[in-house]
Amino acid sequence: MALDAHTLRLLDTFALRTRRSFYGARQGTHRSHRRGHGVEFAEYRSYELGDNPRYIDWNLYARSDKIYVKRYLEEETVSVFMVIDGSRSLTHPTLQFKWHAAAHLATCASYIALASHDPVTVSVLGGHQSPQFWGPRSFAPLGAFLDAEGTQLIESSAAKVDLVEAARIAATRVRFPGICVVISDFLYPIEDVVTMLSSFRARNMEIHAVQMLGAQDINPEPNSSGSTLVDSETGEEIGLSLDPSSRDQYARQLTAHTEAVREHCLSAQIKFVQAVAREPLAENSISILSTMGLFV
Amino acid sequence: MISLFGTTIAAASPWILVGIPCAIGFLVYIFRVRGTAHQAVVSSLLFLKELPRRPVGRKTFVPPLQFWLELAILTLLLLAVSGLYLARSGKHIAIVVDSSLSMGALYGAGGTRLDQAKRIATLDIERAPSSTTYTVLSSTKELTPISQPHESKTETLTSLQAVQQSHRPDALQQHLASLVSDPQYDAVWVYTDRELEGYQPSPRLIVNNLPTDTSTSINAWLQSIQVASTSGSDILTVRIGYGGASAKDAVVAGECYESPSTTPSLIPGKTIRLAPHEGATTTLTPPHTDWSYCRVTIKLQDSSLFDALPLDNEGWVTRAPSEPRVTLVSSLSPQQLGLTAIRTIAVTTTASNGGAEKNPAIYHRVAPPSPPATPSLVILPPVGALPWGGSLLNQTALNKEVTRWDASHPLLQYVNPALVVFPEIRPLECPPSATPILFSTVGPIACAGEERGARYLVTGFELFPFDGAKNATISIFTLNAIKWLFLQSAGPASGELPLSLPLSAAVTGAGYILPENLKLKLEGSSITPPAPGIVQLEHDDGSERYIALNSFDEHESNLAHRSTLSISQAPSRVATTSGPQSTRSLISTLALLALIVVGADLIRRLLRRVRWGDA
Repeated sequence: MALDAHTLRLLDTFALRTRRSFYGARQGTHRSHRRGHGVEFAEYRSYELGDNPRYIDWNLYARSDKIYVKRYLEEETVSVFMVIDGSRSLTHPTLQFKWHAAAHLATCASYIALASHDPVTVSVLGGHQSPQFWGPRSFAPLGAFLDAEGTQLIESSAAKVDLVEAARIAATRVRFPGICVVISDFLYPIEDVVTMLSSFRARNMEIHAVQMLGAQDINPEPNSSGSTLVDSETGEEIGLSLDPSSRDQYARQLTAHTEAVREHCLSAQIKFVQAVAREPLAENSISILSTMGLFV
Repeated sequence: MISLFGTTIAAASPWILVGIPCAIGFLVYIFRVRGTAHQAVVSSLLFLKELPRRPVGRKTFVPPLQFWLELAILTLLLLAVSGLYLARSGKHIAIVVDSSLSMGALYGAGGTRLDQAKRIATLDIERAPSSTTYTVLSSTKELTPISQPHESKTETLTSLQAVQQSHRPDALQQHLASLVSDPQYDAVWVYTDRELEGYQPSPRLIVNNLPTDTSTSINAWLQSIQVASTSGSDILTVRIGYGGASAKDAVVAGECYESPSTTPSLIPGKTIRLAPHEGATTTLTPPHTDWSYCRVTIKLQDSSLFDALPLDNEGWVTRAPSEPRVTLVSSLSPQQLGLTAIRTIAVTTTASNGGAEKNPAIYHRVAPPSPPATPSLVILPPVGALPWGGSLLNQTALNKEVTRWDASHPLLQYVNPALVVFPEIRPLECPPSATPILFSTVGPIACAGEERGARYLVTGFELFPFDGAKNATISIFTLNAIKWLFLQSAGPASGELPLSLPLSAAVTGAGYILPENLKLKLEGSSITPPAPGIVQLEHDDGSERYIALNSFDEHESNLAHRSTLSISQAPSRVATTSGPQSTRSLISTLALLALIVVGADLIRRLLRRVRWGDA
């Protein structure tokens, strides 16, 4: 998924900001749990055999006659784990705009991370691969991967994706806990949503959940005479007449569901953002990125 | 059955139409219970399933376009299956106008009987309901449609005026019998000067008989004109018929022509006395001997009287042509074959087989190399020859008798083949265009037919030498053959105007000389003369011949004789609706419409799919 120059310039102004520190695989720009030889002082620790004498605080030794070594905060990369819901509710041919919006958002977020040399692992729930991308030069392969996954998922008539299981499998691929961005419409029973997010929480990740809804999800197509509504996931059909009262009731239920997800995220320290897939995608993605608080 | 503006819409199987309300109910049920055929894919039915599943109320059920399309398809198919057809609600009437020769008789001061018949028919048509449709037919020897079937009142009145006076006798009796039994017509209206015997007025058959007073009808007509040559001069024997109630004088005159470009020579008029209802015979002498054709006229002398039927006061005659030239293809001479004794033909000989292609020919014990274009007599073709696709069986039977024959064939007129025992018989295989007329125990032995407008006769027995009365049966058969083959168009035409006059293949053009205003078109090998007169035939060798065409019919000309007709078949039921021929089936139209609607529905679905894809 290619981004135009204007969007790239806008993304260049963003930087990844983590609320927590994580162990990183390489030296980077984010504070790490690892103590080492950074710039910022962290703590004193009693000298132990094997410590480098360079880090002994001789002033403190002079004052206290005890040997302490100075510890500094290490700055390392942080792993970014992009999880995109690849179920039919996003990849059905009639709903594929949600997928495009989700993939565009993931691409933009990945670009910001890759620009700061943070590794990005992309996992499409329902897909079979979770490749990791390093460095700015891997941005193009990342876009190509998302394009290929999207095309395959849209054109295939795959069966219903077990999101809970897919999320569990995806979480096992995490090598370094970091930031996890989960993009889904979360239009599942709240229990499934909780279970899915818990899979990533269990890996001690900082989770950002983005609920990507379509315009039809918020405001179903008005059809007073009734139409056959088909569940994109299961293929189940129901004939329904959406009169104004039904539409109000639907809106209330959707809001209640969203609030339930939001409350869970709040209690689980998951940053939750609700978004609607709109054109143009670039503006939509940047707007969501600004709202997420992950990028500054 | 629904009648609207003179058109009835009906169904062959109306009970199938019950399916239309059933189809409506079925579709409404489907659309209300299952939703519309419009399928909307949603991300999840998680919340939608929890909405109350209220069926759409009747008042709020606004059928979508899909509903109407499917209803239209179902309705059209049901209408097609029910056999819907359009029918005229008005009656279809055959207007039969007798336009035979007698209808040309003067009728009062207002034209002829035909004109009066047209006036009466016009009044009848104008009084008829506007939904009635008509077919105008002219009845002479043939029943000729003047208009298209199912014409409206205005069109029919126009067509009625197009009925032309004919010079032929009528065959109204046969025509009415077929028309009355024809289910195409609800009624037959006849306009004629003949009376229907035992006629009971019925809605099915209405005969409008022109009232005529036979006692006062005076008409003199030519019955025949014969040419006789005596001592170098020609005499025209004219027979005249008369239908008046009192004796009258009439003048018989004429004029003779040598060629169309020469001035006619008048024959002095001769006054004869005509007895009441009796004819007379007189003779006229052409003023010179080199005449080619003559016109003979008769006129009643009393100026206070008028001839009621002027059309039959004129006759035409041509000089008998010289005997036709016939080429003999044989190893024997005409003298040896006795052909010199037959004076109706002039026989010339040719050495080669292929030399007899333009003239009528007699092939004696040889077969023509190809199907001849001229009348041909083939006698005893060689064994194994293949004349006209047929073949001679490779066997020769001796002393065989004739077992059966086609006695109705003109070749066998006055011939009793049972009396003959042929010394030599060769069975034939007749060409496809010929029919066997004589059979022996071994098969057909004589085949007569026509190929490319030329008659031919193939015999499997010997006809020659022609020895006259010594062998009467064979001689008569030979003369019949010569007359049938070579003299078919020679001499003056018969008294009745022929419907079609066959011509030999050598004729390249034909046209009327008199009357000059008539046109004639050569249609293949025949002509259809519209009126009496002199027809000039042009042959391919540059020679010209004249044919006299007359219309002498005692039945038509004798106005004093009450002409009647009777229909043996009782008029059938009165049809209240048009028959199957007056209907137009709508099955194909409905099926086509259903197909169009299906196509429109498919296109609509495809366009919608494209829109989804774009989204």
